Amino acid sequence: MRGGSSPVLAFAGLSGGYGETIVLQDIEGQVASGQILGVVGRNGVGKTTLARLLTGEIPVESGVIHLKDADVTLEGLWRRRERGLGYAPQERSVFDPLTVADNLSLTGVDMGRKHSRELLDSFPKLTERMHQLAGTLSGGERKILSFVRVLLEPTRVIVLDEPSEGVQQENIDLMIQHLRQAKESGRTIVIIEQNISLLESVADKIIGLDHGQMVLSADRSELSRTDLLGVLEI
Amino acid sequence: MEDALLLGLNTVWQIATLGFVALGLAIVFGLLRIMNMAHGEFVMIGAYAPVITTQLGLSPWMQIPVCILSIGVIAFLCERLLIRHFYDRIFDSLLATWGLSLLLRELVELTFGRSFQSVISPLPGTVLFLGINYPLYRLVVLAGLLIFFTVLTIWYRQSLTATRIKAMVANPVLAQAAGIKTARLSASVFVVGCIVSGLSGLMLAPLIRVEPFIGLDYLLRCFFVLVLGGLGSLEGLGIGSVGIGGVQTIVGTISSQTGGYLTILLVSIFFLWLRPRGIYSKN
Repeated sequence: MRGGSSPVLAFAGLSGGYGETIVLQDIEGQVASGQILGVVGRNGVGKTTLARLLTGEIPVESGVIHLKDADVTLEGLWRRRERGLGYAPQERSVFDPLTVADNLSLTGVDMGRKHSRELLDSFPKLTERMHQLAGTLSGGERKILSFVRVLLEPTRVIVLDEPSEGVQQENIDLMIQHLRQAKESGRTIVIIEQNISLLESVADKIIGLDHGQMVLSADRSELSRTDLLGVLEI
Repeated sequence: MEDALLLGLNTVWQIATLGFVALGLAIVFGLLRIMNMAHGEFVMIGAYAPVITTQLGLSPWMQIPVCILSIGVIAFLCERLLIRHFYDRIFDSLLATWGLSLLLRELVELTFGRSFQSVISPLPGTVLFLGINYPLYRLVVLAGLLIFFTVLTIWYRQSLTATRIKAMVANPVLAQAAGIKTARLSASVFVVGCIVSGLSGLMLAPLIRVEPFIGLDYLLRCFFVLVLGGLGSLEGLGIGSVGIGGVQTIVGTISSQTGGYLTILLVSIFFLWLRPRGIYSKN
């Protein structure tokens, strides 16, 4: 495994939610360059809230978030993106009224680059639909589009919220392949997932959530499938 | 035959100019969800640009730069101090911009007085067009609007900036996550929308009585255009302009101006009741 010891993304004592409702309390974790942090838990335990806190979509109630040595706790979504944090949200993950091509080229990505072409070509259904409106894609295709978009962007840290939801197994296998390549190139990734197989395939560290609390935090190598399934069955 | 041709040209004129006047509101309301009750005041201030230019002793060619600069500065300040707090608060924005409209109207009244100002047409006289004498200024403006809307349509369909605007409108959170600085883009869109409103006022200035209270009529008709056509697209703006401008001109010619106005009012009520999203809405 690549990756240095100093964390690229670190968070501690993290609490937050929506208005008066605190959904997550005292969450901590860190992930270094070339590493993937998996976040696992049942529906409604606060996984998406964690993604939103880490990306700045919603404000932090308490705690700190460091991104590449900078304290970004009070910064919003755009500022963190400027610092190199990419984000593929769970819901509303594509621009519905834009074509697939426009979704991908929106941030000025050069689609002719070898890396971009290889990534795109690995999902032929997407390339076939380049001029189709993203809003007309199936749920799984939208997830793939969101996944490809965020990988194409020139960001060093990526937060993926349920990237495999509704995606066919053959495409999940391709996602795993691209995530491994992203790791090898030194990118840092946080994946929020319920797909245990995907997390087992790519994650270096895993944290588990339940009822807004952290109930598991360990290196992937220290965890068995039973441990992971246990978090989903609490 | 000549009467029919004249009616046709006048209808085209009404549709094109109404489309241009409504464009500013379509940008600010349709894209930013700011229910801009001060739209008519920006049209009105634009109509005062020739008056300002004359008072400053500048060449008539400076009317367009004076219009763009004055409206740009006012719109920028409005966005910074007021509007940016009302994105995603559509009904609050109605009240805020209503207050803004009163303020702008009072400021213009203080500066130029209540009495109306006459603006001399830069292109006076008529020319023979399709066998009838038609005002030269109107024909030149129509040609200019044709070119403007053609370029705008191409730009809106093909440019990266337009794609980013559409992305921001569709999904502001994801737009920020994709690196689009939505705060700056929204401010730019607002300022551009107001400048377009001002330019439409400048265009109409030689044909109307320029006074502080002209904005209200334009505001209402522009809302009718958006109610009929729908928000968020140039197609909707076109349909709304054709419907409102066409109906008002034809009914107004056949019956009276009041009859024309009453008809578009009824059409708008009908659409608000049965088809509130308009004929062609992307939002």
